[in-house]
Amino acid sequence: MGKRDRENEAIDDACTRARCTLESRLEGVAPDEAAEAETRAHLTTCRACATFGEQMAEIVAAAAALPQFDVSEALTQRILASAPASRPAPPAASMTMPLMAAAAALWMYLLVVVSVESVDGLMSWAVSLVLMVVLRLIIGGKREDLAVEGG
Amino acid sequence: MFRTTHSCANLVESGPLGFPMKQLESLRSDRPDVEALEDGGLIALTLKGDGRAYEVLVRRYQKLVYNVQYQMVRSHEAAADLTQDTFLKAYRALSTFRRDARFKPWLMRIATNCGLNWIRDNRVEDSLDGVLEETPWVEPAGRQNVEQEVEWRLSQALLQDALGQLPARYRHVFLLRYQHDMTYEDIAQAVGEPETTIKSLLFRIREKLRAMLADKMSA
Repeated sequence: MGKRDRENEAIDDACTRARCTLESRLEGVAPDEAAEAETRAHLTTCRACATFGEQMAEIVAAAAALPQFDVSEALTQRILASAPASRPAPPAASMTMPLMAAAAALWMYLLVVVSVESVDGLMSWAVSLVLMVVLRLIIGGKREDLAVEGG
Repeated sequence: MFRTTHSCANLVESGPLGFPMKQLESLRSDRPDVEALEDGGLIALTLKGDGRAYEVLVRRYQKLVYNVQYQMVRSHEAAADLTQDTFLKAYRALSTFRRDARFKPWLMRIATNCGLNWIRDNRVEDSLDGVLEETPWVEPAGRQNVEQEVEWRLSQALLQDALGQLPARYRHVFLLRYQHDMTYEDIAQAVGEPETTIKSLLFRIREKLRAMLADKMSA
């Protein structure tokens, strides 16, 4: 690597460090004193990095100053009116166990009372299986409707 | 003959959640205690069926949600619909909200999903997809580039235009950070990405915006 290449590499490293410091400043992270001093010195000699810093700061400031729209009272009332006129649904988990217990009890009753050897017995098996599938679908559907990750 | 001063004096309009509007109006000024509650307290009251608490929650966050949605979908009509959808989904899912979590990023997560789903369902083309895969700045100082003496007069219109050219998801992350001043942790939760990804993404977004704006101004 020739002398010129080494000089260019040193300039590149200085710019990289300076820009890292400038980025940190934008994020509200206070750089250490040595880095801050080095950056200040670098910016006095490197117009490109100084402009980089100015432009980045301007973008961030412009974004912070972007206007925000107020919400009309009509929309607020629309939002409130759209909420169901009842309490939010209780957690699905709190209903699962009682429902499953009820389904199990019903199944046991049908199993004990009616034998599988008769037509009535077979019907009772079919009824109880359908009942359990329906309950499972209801519980599973409610869980999908309500589940929101991050809560 | 007694004359009513208000033509609708005998009408009690049923308001949201079954509360009479007039009752709500009178309660609004008499319930500083409810309005002073933190989000957790409001959620607990809402789960018990307190409509006033839910209204306070809505009014507290509706502007944020609306503006976030607007910047994602760039339509006031769609933003209004999505704001309503966001709060409806949040209301239905309130019972799943963990009490030790923070409400704002949780709500933002719902808003983000609503907005991105709308964009997907309406087949809005996100421009410059993958543009942020380009290598960020590594130019040597000696190269004449965007840092040249271009006098910047960055107007909000220009910035909005440049933001409009970014994919919605990246625009969303950028504005959550710099317009709405959300922390990395909250943004990470809102968009479902690790904090390190958010930091890296913001770095690339800033650089891309800078290059886009410099091109516009020098053109």
